[in-house]
Amino acid sequence: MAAVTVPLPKSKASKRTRHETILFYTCIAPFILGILFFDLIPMGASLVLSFTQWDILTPPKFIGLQNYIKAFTQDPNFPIILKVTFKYALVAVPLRLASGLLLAILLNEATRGVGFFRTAFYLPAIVSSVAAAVLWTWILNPVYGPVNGLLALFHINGPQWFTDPKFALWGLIMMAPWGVGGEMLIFLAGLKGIDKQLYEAAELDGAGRLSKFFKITLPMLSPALFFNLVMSVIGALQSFDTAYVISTARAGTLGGPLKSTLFYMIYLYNRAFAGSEMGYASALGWILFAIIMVLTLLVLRSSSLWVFYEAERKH
Amino acid sequence: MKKLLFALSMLVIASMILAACAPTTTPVPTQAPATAVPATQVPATEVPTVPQLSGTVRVGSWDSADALTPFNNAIASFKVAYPGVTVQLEDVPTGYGDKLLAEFASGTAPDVFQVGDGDVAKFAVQGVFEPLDPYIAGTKGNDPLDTSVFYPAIADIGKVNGTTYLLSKDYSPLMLYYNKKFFDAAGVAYPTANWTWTDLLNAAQKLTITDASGKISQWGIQLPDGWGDPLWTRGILPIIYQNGGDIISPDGKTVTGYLNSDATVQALQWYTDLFLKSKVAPSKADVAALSGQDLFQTGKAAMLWTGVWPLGGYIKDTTMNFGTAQLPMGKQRANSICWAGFAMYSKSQNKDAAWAFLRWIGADQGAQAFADYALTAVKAIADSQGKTTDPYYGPVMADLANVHPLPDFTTMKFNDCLNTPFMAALEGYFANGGDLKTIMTGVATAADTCLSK
Repeated sequence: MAAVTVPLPKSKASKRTRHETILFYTCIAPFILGILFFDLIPMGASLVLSFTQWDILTPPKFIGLQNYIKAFTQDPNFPIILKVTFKYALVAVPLRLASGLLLAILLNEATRGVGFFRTAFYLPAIVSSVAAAVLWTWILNPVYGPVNGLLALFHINGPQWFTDPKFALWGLIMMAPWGVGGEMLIFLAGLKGIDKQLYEAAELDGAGRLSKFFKITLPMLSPALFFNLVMSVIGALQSFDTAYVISTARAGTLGGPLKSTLFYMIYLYNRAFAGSEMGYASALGWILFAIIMVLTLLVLRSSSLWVFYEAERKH
Repeated sequence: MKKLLFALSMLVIASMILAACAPTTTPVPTQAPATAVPATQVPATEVPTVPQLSGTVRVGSWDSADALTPFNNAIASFKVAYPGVTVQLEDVPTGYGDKLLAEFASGTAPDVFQVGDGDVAKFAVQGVFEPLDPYIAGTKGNDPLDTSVFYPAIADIGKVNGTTYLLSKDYSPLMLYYNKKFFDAAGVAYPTANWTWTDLLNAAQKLTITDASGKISQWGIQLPDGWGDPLWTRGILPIIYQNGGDIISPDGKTVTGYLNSDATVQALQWYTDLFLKSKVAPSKADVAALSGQDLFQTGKAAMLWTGVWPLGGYIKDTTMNFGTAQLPMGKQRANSICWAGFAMYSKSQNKDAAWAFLRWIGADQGAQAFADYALTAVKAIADSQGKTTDPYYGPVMADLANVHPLPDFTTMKFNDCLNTPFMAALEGYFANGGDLKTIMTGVATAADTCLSK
């Protein structure tokens, strides 16, 4: 900057540049400010708070790593919330991906009513999760619900679902594939992008439906699968709203019955607001952040083995 | 230049956003101070001194829908008496406690706010309540209050260690509802004030009807465990007290010897046996399966053990033929209570006006508005409504004398150290069985450790 010594005459071009600069910063300012005020500053605050004992009402007290030590060595609920959350993620994530892919393939193959079905399949994704949770308490209602009604046709006495500790988490897992509209759309976009010539060439070589799916569709879709996998893992580990609504809607305790739906985030919320342990809740938040970070990195690292980018191959 | 422009544009936008986020603090009053209350508007209990009050009073409540009617009525009558003060009702039906905590942290809680009995001990310790005694005595504010207008037992709930922090909003002891038609059909005499536990069990057994397929079509009694409400500890405390037991020491420091005492365990055994052994009461799962239905109103339960809250609706329902009674006696007569009150925020910017409104809804014309919807702590209002002699409300009012102090008030750690683990242990007992004495001793030992921290 200091090197520019000769004052240049003001041209129309530089005026326009300045104008564009202002416009640029004005346009991105909301995003920068949003991230600053609603993400970075609160994150920084929660990191600081995670080293304190804070009941919200009296000033925070610095206690070093005590909150982290408590989580890993003293809190009997910590292994439970990890177990519940991972059990849910391990089943719900593959279930979501598989059902999203299946719906996308169906839509891709369909020749009539595509618009209708695309809307119908996507619709649950825009329903508020609270409304969905209430709806599912009826679908899985032990007496009046259609699921147990169907089981009764086969003379099976359906479970009590959300009031039975053995089934409550499975009830939530059953809900997981319901709102896969977002994943489905990403898969569908991926499917539309696959060159038809690849299938034609494979057919000429005598490839069947299955080998076309595994040799062409799946590899070509792997970037979409990769993206959906990362997002679903993050989403599943942060599960909160449905379990919150369902476990408090009926007579029972948060995360009940018998802690069978005590998700990581539910426990975090409970510590923060019911237990007035904001510092400990912040530490739990950072531990979950680390877990998600590590898992996402693992998926990223493994991606070179199974994600196929056509653009990269062309070099 | 670019940098300067950037900084400027950021500043402009930041100020816009900050302005939007800023808490709506008490606006500067624009009206002139109000003149004296017109003679026709003199409140029932006491004549307030010249209320030269102004500004805004924010009022926090978790109520919603119909339950807001008394608020609106009370605010309307307050506006006439204190024209200079604007009352702003902030109703937060879900997550009220969370929002209140966040507002305490940022110092922006409402001037007057509703408090449930479970939060009183915690809030009192944390200093968010303004002590009300100076206002009651008249050394602060403009309107002293004669506290003899209240039922003493109810007014005492608003005190912690002798300091008054809250005025009562409404309350309810537990009571028994019974369906007269079902009692007549089964040839069982109606419950009386002298009913014992044995009478209740015998009646419940006769009133439980199993249909041809082996399913229960009519339960003898719906108990607190089946309310569909997580606050059911309160509902079973009377049984423990009636047997001479307790769950925590009066000083709030010891649980062992109380929760696992023979008297308490025996009471819990009797209570849980109603579900597990004699099977006269619908379990949580049964109630959840019938979610949305009032089992007593729809004729699926012959008796109901709960508070006064459904009574108004039942009286209006002309198809119902029911009666109410005091809870049965155990070894002694005892009851518990569910209570809500109003407190003043210790950081309120407009305390005199906040007190005026608090007094209005706690003891004055505003209390009348609330009395139309729930039981009032003001004796004269309850008497004028005929509540003590009412065939439905009378039995509840008669039991007021037997209400025990709330265990929640003994320690701010009550919920975390005792109530939550106790509910979890009972939930576990319902699901897996076991020995109640051993289970409660386990809860008590852990609770003592938790309380000593």
